Amino acid sequence: MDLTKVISKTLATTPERQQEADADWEVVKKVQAGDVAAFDKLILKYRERVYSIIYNLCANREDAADLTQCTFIKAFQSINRFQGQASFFTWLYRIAVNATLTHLRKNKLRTFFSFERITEEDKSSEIIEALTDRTGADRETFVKELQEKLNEALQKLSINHRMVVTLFEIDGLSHNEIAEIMNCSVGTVRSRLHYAKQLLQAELQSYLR
Amino acid sequence: MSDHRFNPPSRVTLEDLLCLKRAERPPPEFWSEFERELRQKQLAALVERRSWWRELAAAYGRFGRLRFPLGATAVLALSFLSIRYYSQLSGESQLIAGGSPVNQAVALAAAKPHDNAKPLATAPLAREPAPEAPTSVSSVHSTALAAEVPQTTSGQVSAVIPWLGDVLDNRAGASELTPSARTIAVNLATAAVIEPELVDALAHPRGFEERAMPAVRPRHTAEVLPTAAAVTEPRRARLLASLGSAGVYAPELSAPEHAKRSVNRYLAQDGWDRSISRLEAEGDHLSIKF
Repeated sequence: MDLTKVISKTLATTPERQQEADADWEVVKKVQAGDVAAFDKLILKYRERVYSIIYNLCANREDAADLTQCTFIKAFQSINRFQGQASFFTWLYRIAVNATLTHLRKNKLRTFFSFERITEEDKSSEIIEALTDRTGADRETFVKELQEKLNEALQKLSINHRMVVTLFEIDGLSHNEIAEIMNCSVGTVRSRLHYAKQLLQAELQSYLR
Repeated sequence: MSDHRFNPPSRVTLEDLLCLKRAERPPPEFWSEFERELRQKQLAALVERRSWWRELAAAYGRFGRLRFPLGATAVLALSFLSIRYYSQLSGESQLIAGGSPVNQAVALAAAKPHDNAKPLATAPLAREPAPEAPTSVSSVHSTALAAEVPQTTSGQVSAVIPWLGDVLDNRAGASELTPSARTIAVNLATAAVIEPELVDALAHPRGFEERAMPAVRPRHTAEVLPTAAAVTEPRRARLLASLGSAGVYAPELSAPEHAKRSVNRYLAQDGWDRSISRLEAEGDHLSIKF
């Protein structure tokens, strides 16, 4: 790895991320030594995040489940090649993103959406209340419509723009991490994010206040 | 869509809307099913035998940064080996069929045509033994070959290939060999040194004894033409006769024959005597005019 990359990564990585990466590296070393059961810890830790990325990219829950499983199998098969130069989650995300990109390119013409139900927590509930004061069945209908509109707007973006938005806004990764996963520069990530947000704002204008 | 919303209490941004995407989560029972399927796939992946090209790709991938230098080295090595192999092949083929020894021999023959022709013209056509074949091709040195080749005669050729030697001898009796014939002789002698089995097979083909090639004697044009004329005369007569009988060809008659035919024709007609305009008798001649 380049010295500049190492320095920028060190500066950009938060202490929490660094601790997480170190802990993962210990588990990976165990798996590499032959402790296959140790890989289950990594699956349990990352399955929801990996699923979330894939789901937000392809907007189909069945495909997302399949691709998540494929991602973990590929990671398990090639864990001996992981040398700890990047953090495990970056490496795992890259596998997930590549698998999703391959799937999307193969099935460019076959687009079928199936959504997960929005779980109303504190934050999401506040947003929905800010958008509507309806209750009961009306509220559910409104939430479904909003979800469909949101997914439609995201699907109108190109794969690269959709990926940047998903990784930054939904999964909360930093620009550096996204650049590392997507194998591009931080500037490219920023410009893609800016452009994607402009498009989304134009699409979702009627919901923005 | 906008009629669903009634005076939202606070500001809603794009980031807030995207936050709703985070809340799209599968139910807890989904993960138990997910884990079961993942186990099955993991086991299948462990049992599945990977194809050789996947293994190769994986092995190649392990080299990481070295892949480009390794690839370039492999390409260079292949190029070097192929060039070496083909240069060896072309060297051998040149040695056999028109390489430097033959060219040298032809050049020598062109420089000294009389010296080279002499043994061919006056050679007693003794069956000289073929030069001893070396144990391997590589042991034949090109300079040794070049030294042997100019001395090649039809005798050597006949020692290698008897029937070709006879043909060359017949030619040599009439005149000098042509340069191409000399080149063939030189090539055959060279081939006898390098590939004795091949030349042996060429010299004694299967069934050759039964249909041995006769010696061809060149015939002069002056001998051929009279024979051709003698042959065509009776044929011409036969053709004319056949045409005459068919009425296609009628040769011109002589004057007395023509008069005789005319008289006969008139005498055969009725009342021929009335058409006589003049009748004279003089000596043994009788002249009649119609």
